[in-house]
Amino acid sequence: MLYITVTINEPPDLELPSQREPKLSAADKRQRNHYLREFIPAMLAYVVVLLVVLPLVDDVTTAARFWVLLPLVPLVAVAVAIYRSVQRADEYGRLIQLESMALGFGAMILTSLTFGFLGIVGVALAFSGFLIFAAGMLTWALSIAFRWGDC
Amino acid sequence: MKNRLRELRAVNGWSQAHLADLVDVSRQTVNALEKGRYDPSLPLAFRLARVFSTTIEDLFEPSADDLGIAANQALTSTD
Repeated sequence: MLYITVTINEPPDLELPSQREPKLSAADKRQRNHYLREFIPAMLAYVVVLLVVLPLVDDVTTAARFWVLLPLVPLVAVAVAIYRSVQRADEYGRLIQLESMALGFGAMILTSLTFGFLGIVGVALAFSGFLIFAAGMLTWALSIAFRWGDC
Repeated sequence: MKNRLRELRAVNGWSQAHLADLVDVSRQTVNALEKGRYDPSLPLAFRLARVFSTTIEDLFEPSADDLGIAANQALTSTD
């Protein structure tokens, strides 16, 4: 009887090291940690100020209503954290950030013009400022997610 | 622009994250470079060439579009 021995070799390891190692380089982790150290306290401060201030501005007829602007103070720190993270980013990261910011800026302009033109014909939407902000932030975030997600 | 980053990285057995650390960029940047979605600045190209102990010319190969129509015509006319 003839026996045929078939030896099945293990497939060669075609996997590149990048596919089994962490997705973040040391520089990525350093950058992320630095950003979070600045961003999280600023956002927490914003939430605290917001929670404190909102009950104070219930009566919109008094001068106390201008306390509503107080949450802008910690938001300056948020903006600084974002600006500094863009400064720390490498050249490709900065390119993605700035192009995404440009798209967000465009979305804000288009949204604000939309509300502006609607205002001409007497259509005034409540909280239009927040809608403009949301349009810009959403576009910015989606652009970054789309381009980073592809990497 | 075409490049040999992925090939040389595999030869050295490096991960994208390791190469990113060597040239002080993010892993995403290395990935974008390897896929040809991003052309590096001259300083980064020099750093990459240095870690692979080669030259920029050996690492990167410009396409016809990168050279530009005028440059292509000039090259053709000298042939």
